[in-house]
Amino acid sequence: MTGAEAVHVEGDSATTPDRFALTVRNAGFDGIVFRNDQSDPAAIDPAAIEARYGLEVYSGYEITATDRSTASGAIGNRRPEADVLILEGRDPTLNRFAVESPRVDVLGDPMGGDGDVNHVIAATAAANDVAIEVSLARVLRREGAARERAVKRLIKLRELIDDADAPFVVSASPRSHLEVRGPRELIAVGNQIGLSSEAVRAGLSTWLQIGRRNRRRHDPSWIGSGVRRRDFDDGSS
Amino acid sequence: MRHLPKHLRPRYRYLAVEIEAPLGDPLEEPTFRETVARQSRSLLGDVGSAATDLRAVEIDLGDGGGTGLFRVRHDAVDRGRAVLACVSSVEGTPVRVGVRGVSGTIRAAREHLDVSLQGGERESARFRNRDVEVQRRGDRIDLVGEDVAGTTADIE
Repeated sequence: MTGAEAVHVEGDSATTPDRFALTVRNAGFDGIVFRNDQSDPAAIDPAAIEARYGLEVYSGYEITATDRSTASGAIGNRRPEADVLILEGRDPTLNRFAVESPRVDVLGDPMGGDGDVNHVIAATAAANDVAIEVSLARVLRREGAARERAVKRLIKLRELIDDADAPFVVSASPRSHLEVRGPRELIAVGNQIGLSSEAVRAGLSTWLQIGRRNRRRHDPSWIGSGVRRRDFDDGSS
Repeated sequence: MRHLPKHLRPRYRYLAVEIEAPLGDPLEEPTFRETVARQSRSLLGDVGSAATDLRAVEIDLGDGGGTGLFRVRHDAVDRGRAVLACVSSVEGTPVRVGVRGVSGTIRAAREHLDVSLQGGERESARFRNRDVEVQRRGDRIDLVGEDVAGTTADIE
């Protein structure tokens, strides 16, 4: 299993980044993405966590905004340092804005709150390579009518993602270590709501692909896609 | 009733789980069992729940969590896992249920349970630049009287 979970952290999180990493590693993942609160970030030392737990660690930011201009400012501020940049959806306008911004890596939980997705948003996400998050949060942590509604929305989301062949990520979206579930558990839950095992695995590993891609771009020797600066030893010096 | 002949007896798999909960608010076994049963019916429906037949064989709960062994029909391991993943709180107390392993016998399943999430020792420490009392279980630390969880790397 090569996949990562993306966990929420903030300044005074009830679960520290380190405790998240320990729990995520024990649950069977081999990577972790921190979705750090953009306005009140936690202090994270990715290298130390990587060394302690043997996980691939990516330091990301999650932007929660109510309007486009705040979101846009936050994207500009956080993009240079973020391994993974997530813009939380929550309403159709912001969902649309997120997928129209190629600088955003992930449209977070587009079906949460008043959020909704249509074929235009899915197609734009595919065109701009913005991954859509399939959040299992409400399937895992709600019951009855609320869970039913969440499952219905995820079925719709899956159909739109399939149709547009849009990139996507899967997550339990944990806000504490007690909300972390292992990859096999997420696959099992996905199977119950019509997500294939392959789809869930792909969604978990996409987090890692996004993190790796951005790390390469942050590397000073990166110039453009497929172009890197290297030192050649031609014997002249 | 007489025992069924061997080929007609249902075959089972055993899921070994770790249960993690906040310190200071021990889970009660009956309510934990009820929560699992309710989640099974809620997620899978009455029919799916019956076909899965998820049942707790052994539960060992203390302060901070514990372990459990669940029996499930051999062809429904995946559904059993899904139900256990959906056990997210017991009477308002958040819990994490993680499957550590699956085996064909109870004895083999027990082998997967080497983690102890119960109890721990109390000590004083510096956390986020203040003095606190923590309860330590292996590398895990939980602040006493506060809903904050970290590891030994977070304290000085």
